[in-house]
Amino acid sequence: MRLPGLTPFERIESAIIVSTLLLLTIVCVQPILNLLAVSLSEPARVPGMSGLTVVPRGFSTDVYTLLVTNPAVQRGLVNSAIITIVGTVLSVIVTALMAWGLSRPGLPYRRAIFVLVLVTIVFEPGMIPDYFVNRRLGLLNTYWSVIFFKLVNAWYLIILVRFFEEIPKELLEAAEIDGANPFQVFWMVVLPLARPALATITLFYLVFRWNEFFRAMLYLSDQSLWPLQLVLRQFVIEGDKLAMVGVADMNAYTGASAIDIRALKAGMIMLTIAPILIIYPLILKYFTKGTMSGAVKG
Amino acid sequence: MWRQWWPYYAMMAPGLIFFAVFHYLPIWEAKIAFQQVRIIPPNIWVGWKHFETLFASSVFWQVLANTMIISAMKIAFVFPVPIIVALLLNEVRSGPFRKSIQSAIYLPHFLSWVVIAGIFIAALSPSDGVVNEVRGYLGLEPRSYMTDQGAIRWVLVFSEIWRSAGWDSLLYLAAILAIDPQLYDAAEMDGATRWQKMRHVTLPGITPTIATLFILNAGMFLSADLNQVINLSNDAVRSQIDIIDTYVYRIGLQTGEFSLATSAGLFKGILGMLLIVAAHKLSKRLTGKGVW
Repeated sequence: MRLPGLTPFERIESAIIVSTLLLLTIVCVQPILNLLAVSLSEPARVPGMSGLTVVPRGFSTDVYTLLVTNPAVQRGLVNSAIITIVGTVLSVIVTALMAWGLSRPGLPYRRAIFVLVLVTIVFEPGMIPDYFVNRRLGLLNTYWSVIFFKLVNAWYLIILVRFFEEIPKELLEAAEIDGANPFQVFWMVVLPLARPALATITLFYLVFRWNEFFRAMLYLSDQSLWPLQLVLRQFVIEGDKLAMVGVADMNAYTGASAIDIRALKAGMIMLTIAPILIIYPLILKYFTKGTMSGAVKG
Repeated sequence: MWRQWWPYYAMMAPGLIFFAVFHYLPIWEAKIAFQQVRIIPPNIWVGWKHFETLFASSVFWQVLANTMIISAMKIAFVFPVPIIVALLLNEVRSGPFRKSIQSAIYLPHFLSWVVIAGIFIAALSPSDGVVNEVRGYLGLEPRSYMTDQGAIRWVLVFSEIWRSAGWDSLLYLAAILAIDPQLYDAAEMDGATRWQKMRHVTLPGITPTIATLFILNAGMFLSADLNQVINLSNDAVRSQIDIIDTYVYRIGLQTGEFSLATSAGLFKGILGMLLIVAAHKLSKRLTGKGVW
């Protein structure tokens, strides 16, 4: 880098700063690229592959073909998709409706509701009482138990209330004078104006839903309902190869078991990250902006 | 009055019901911490019996100690990293270069702990992990970090840095951008070097943010992150990183001692609440800015 008007000392300083940041960048990204390279290599050439490389040895998508034809992975993908999509849609709708009411200054018991919401941030009675509530309602071993967990995130609710409060009063009043009822004002004035905030919250919820695994582990003993994160956990963290490979294959050493297990694990991790990587450009666009303005204002 | 406001309450109803059922009903259900669960209802009240059992058990004190040690290590070694990253990023003048670094270092924050644990297990593998490969080049013996009782807490610290250092730096970067540019101009006129500007303008400018986030972190002292620990734990190292939440999960849902587990959970919940409220009050007094 050639910078005019810098003393030699300042140039050394710049070099140190830039190389520290580059090192951090490599540390953040290299492990992921390595797994991608391992998963895309020819399975037979994976043993002995360096952990430092980011280039596949040969090229093959065998690992992914095997993974997406595996019944456990297929079920995991479907379950995760259902929980993520239904959960996110419900979360955004319920949060936005509640935030709209709470953003109106004259709402009766407004302060009391705020306090009750804040209490839930500060005090958590623990996972066992949560479990009992789900059991009592008959929600165990249904998608609903996972979808209802943090259906409304108190922090996102507060962010949205603050955003709605910023909408100029004149716009709302104009709509009211035209005879719009509170729901119409919400639908036709508030939502269009709040699009960036809603997009941010939607992305927050999407990532949270896709990544959630503990509540699924807690509430879903039926493995056919497991989201992808739990299938990944069983295979990679708990090292349960049978669940992935199958007994018949394992004994005959064909199909999945013939493929290097390290490549299979790498592929499974990449498969689970894939949806996050797909929406990551959107995340960068909205999250960074949202967090920035929130922090500056707050 | 209700004529005017009932439509709002109708719209808020799903949210209000959600909070009542999934946040307030559990508080009521927590009563089993004071009850003996019987197969044929009703349960009988036993007062503080389960808490006495809890405080008399050495395992409980061990998990409490583990939780606090891990939290203290994270505050000491994880907390400062994003501040340094933000200060460094702020020195990068080239916009596109800065943007591409940011895009890369924010990514780990959006991965689940299952995925991150998978990545760390691979990277720390004694046979083909990148860390031991580098150790090999330096002439060091390979180490099995994931099963090493002396190393596992550091694995928690480093995986937390890996996950959050980039993203958390964004909060500090936002605070830096909010500093009045005139302060920098004035410092430049006085002939301040880059280092002096960083120390005497930038750092004081973001001190309120640092204080708020520090206090917020301290308020989470009894959590130590269940999702992280449960994925990085294994039989060889469990004794070192068994925390309150993993203990509650184990004795409650795996062994079935619901009352004892609930009392441990309540202990954490109530102490955690006191910590957060105290932290909030302290933050308000020191910086004029609360946590909420």
